[in-house]
Amino acid sequence: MKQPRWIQTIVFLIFGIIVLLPILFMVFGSFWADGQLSLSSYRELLFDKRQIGLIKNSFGLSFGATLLSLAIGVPLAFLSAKTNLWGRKLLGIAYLIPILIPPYMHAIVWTHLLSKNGLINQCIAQLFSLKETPFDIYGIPGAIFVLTLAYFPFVTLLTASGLRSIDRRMEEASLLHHGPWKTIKGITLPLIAPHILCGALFVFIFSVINFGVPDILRLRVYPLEVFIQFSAYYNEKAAMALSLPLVGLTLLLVALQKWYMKDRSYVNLASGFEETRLYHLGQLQGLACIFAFTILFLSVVTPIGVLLKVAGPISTYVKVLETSKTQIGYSIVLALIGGFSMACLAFFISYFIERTANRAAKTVVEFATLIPFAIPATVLGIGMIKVWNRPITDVIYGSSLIIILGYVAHFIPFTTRVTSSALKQVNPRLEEMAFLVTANWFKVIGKIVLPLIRPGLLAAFFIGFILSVGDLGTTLLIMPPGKTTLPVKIYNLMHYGAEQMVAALCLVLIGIILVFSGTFYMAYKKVTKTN
Amino acid sequence: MRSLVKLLLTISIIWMLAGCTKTDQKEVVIYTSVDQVFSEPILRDFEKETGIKIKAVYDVEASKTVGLVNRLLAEKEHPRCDVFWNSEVGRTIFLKQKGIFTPYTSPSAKDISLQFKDKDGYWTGFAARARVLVYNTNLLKESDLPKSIFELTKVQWKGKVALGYPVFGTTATHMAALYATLGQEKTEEFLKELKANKVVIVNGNSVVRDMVVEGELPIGFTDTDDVNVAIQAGKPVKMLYPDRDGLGTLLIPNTVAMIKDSPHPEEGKKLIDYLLSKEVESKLAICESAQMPVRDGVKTPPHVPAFSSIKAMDVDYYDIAENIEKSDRFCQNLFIR
Repeated sequence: MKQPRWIQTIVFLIFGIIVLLPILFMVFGSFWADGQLSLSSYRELLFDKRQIGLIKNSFGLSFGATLLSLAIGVPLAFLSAKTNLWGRKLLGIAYLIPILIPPYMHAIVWTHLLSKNGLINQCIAQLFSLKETPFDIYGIPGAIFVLTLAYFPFVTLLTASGLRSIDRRMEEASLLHHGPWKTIKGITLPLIAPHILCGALFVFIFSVINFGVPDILRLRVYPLEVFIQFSAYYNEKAAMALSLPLVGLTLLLVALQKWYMKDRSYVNLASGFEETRLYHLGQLQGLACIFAFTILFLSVVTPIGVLLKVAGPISTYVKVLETSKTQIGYSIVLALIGGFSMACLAFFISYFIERTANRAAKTVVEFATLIPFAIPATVLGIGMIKVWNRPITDVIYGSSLIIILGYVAHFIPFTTRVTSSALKQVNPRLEEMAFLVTANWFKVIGKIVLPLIRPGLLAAFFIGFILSVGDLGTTLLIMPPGKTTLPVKIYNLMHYGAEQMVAALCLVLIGIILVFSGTFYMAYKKVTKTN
Repeated sequence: MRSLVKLLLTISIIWMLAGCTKTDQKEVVIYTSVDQVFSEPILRDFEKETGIKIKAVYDVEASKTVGLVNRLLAEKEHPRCDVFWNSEVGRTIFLKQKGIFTPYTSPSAKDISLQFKDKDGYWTGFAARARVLVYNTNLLKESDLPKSIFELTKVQWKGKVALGYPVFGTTATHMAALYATLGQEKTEEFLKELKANKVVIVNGNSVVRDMVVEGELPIGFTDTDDVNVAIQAGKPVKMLYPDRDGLGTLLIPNTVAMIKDSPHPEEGKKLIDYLLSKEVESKLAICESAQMPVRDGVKTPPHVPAFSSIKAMDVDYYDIAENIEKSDRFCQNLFIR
């Protein structure tokens, strides 16, 4: 049973206008100069020794961070979702904290500890009376370390949401004949491959377009070239041209991922309706605990500890709340609406992608949702101004709505990947059976599909929310006059040298999001129980 | 789940309605790259005095005015902004050349010298910052200090000098000013020597300051306002005006300009008159950013040097603007690798 035509039309119209139009404007603009077709913007794309060097740095960094995030993120997800690890409930929430801390804060924290004058370096050097300090955070290994700590939760979050939807009977069937290791390797992991790969893709993309972390760690990377086009030459066309290789790379990676997963089935017959099956750790309990809590110590306790120390007395927090409460409220409301809109739109798009019989349409739509992945925030912002800054659309461009549209346009690829991974696990036969009883598409979706992919939808909403709360690049270009979002405020304070305030603001933000997520989680539990 | 959905929908609808309601109150839209902590109090005072509501977009120097300049360019067909208050002058000249501004000669700027104004009235400069060296007083004695920036290519400063990316912000303006005064050959020679002497390139002037404050490096290039914030906070740093007997110190004024076809031209003019008043120059001198008035007769605190006591670099801002792309290209090739 297909989506009703009119829903498809509306969804594609919304997607086309909000997401694709600004980007198409910029892409076509980059081939256009002085009123005719021209490749002059592409002259910046030299691929000389210097640019190749930057690309090498970017690739080394991103591959390193992706591999390390997989090495940490997948076992962590497994431990928290599928084993009887001590403290797994705590772990199941705490591992998300690192993505609530902006990546550049992770970088700043670790420069405090691991630079030449850094605390840890100095302690170790004195303890063992070394002449040279043992660690150097500046450079590729340091950047890989920091980016991994900042982004591995995406792998964990997605892997865990996949693990929660696995049909336990498959594992149980395997366990009748094989040991737990073979079952994990042969059944559990392959079943959640879409989720793991999706997480890996996120980390790779975030790392390859990230500019703040390498910048603080004094590593020159390719996105700097794009940024220079804006900030030194104000040439948005050349910036677009320079970012096309990143877009191409992203599409290539996704194509590889699809090719790898081709013709395999990830459907779960009874996904999500039973308790997940837990593996018993036995003797490995201690080792697993050490692993999990080391990661938490590095990615949560350390940054929060340093932030607490920098922020200092309670009075800083009071001051921060007094001066920034409007911006905090504003950002959170916008991001909630943004996350919610993204999850909805992503669901409808994914549903089309996963259920349409038309393979060509499927491929086209799927790749279209991926394009914004690697488009630099500033390019997108300029495109949005060109599309929306018109007298007719004044209601949108002149109000906060434009920021929400910006969030959706910027982050829809992430939420769509998440909802698609979730939908892959749902057997279409279930829906077909339901259509024998009713022809109402909404009823079937509401009663069958949505409950089945609830963990995926929640993950999509949460990721959309987090990304929106932290967005700076696009917001800065389209923010209506008179409004300020939290990241803009934080950057302002950073430049002013108000380290205390910045640290306190980050902690307040983490606190608010944790309280909010906690309440949300409880409400969600309550609702699912009464259902 | 369902109640949550309802709640979010209600919030969004209220939000949209709130966004649509228009009031008759007079307002003016300003884009400013001056740090919000310094610019906001001044804009609030304007609101109090005139009753005109200010709608501001603040940029952050961390993004090197990238947001606002690109935004003004993108909005050219349908301008939203009335007044652009830039913390420096290079991008203002660039925007003038792109046809973003309309001339306005403010009566408040009568006593500002021609050196700081566009001759056709497209922009007016006021309250200046200077390019200085910041040094750590625990690491350097007065006698160790260099007299000139050109001494920093000597071997005793190897790996000890911090510099912001020379393609962004006031650092880029500084390099272009060297091109304009010394000529291409000498400047490029100097930059190559700096590079060979392992100058540490970091992300922006505030990072230069922070590194020197923390003692990671003893000295670096930065702006007076960045150093002043640290001095006021009691950090062990001081500033040094280099090349007093030679080239002089580059002064970078704030600039203000009126946007062409802007939505509220009358209110915009009032705001420009206000910003160019002696009162505002005095406020900018008294606040932590300690900007230097560009005319006499402005009340300043003792730590802000009088304009006449500084040896200012003798350079035309239009010459700087002409050299900036050349300088940026060279620096990009030299340092971004």
